[in-house]
Amino acid sequence: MTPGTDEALAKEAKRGSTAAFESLVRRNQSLVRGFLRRLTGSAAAADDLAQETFLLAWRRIGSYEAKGSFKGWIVRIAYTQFLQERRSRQSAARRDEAYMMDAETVQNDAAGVEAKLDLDRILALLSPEQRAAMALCYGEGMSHQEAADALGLPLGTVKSHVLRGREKALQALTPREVRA
Amino acid sequence: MNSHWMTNGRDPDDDALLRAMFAEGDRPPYGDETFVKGVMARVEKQASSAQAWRAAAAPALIAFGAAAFYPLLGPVGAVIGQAAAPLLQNAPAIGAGGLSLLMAAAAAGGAWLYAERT
Repeated sequence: MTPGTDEALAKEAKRGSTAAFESLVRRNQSLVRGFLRRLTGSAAAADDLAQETFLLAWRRIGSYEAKGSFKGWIVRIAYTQFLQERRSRQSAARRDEAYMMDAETVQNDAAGVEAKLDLDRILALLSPEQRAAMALCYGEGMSHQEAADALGLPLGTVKSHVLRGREKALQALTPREVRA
Repeated sequence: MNSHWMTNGRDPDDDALLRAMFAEGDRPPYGDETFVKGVMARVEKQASSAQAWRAAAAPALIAFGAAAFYPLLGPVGAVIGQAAAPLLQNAPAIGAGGLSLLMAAAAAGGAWLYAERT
């Protein structure tokens, strides 16, 4: 295991090193928060879930086995957190509030706003499973197999989610956006 | 990580567009220290409270163990002493009280080790 890799840091964190765990948080926070933003559609709700994800990862670091990638492991925790949050009616109400607040604080950059609106429009059409699969495959450049491992789903299911999500997304985009 | 699979039998421009949208839209910055500090503050708090719990739990476990097993120490010590007597014929005699003390010390050590590991 190469020193300085996520997996080597995770091994140190397993021995109780909070400094190693801090490096892991620093390296993976963008991935986890970005992934959760695709799933929830809300930056505030995603950041709350991301905090819980890393906290749970710290509690469970003892059970981490360096068989797969650390990224896959942490994404799986994030996805499980998202699913649990979704099941909770109370949390859903809180998330709705966060969506409202987000709508008021959307960034001013015109191109950014346009891109976010397109993405929001696409995400709204997708099921959570399709969102998760597409966020990992398109957003994070993971292979189908890596996404399947991270989400704890069969490979064929992930392929199907990506294929159907892709069809829906392309249908939602205007011809200008698709063929320009 | 690879993405060659995306072009199999499909328009690579469409995939490039989707990749760009998913990768660039609203992504949090790398090395966002505010977020990292927020997480680590909670992690440190959790780590220190776990340590404090262990520190408090070890003596509590020992005290509980001693209180729970104290009435049994005498009879159990006598039984073990009797059973071990043939083996200890040439050794200095250990009375039931001495054996009880040894057992209590071993139980306390075990409880402390358990508390340290959990």
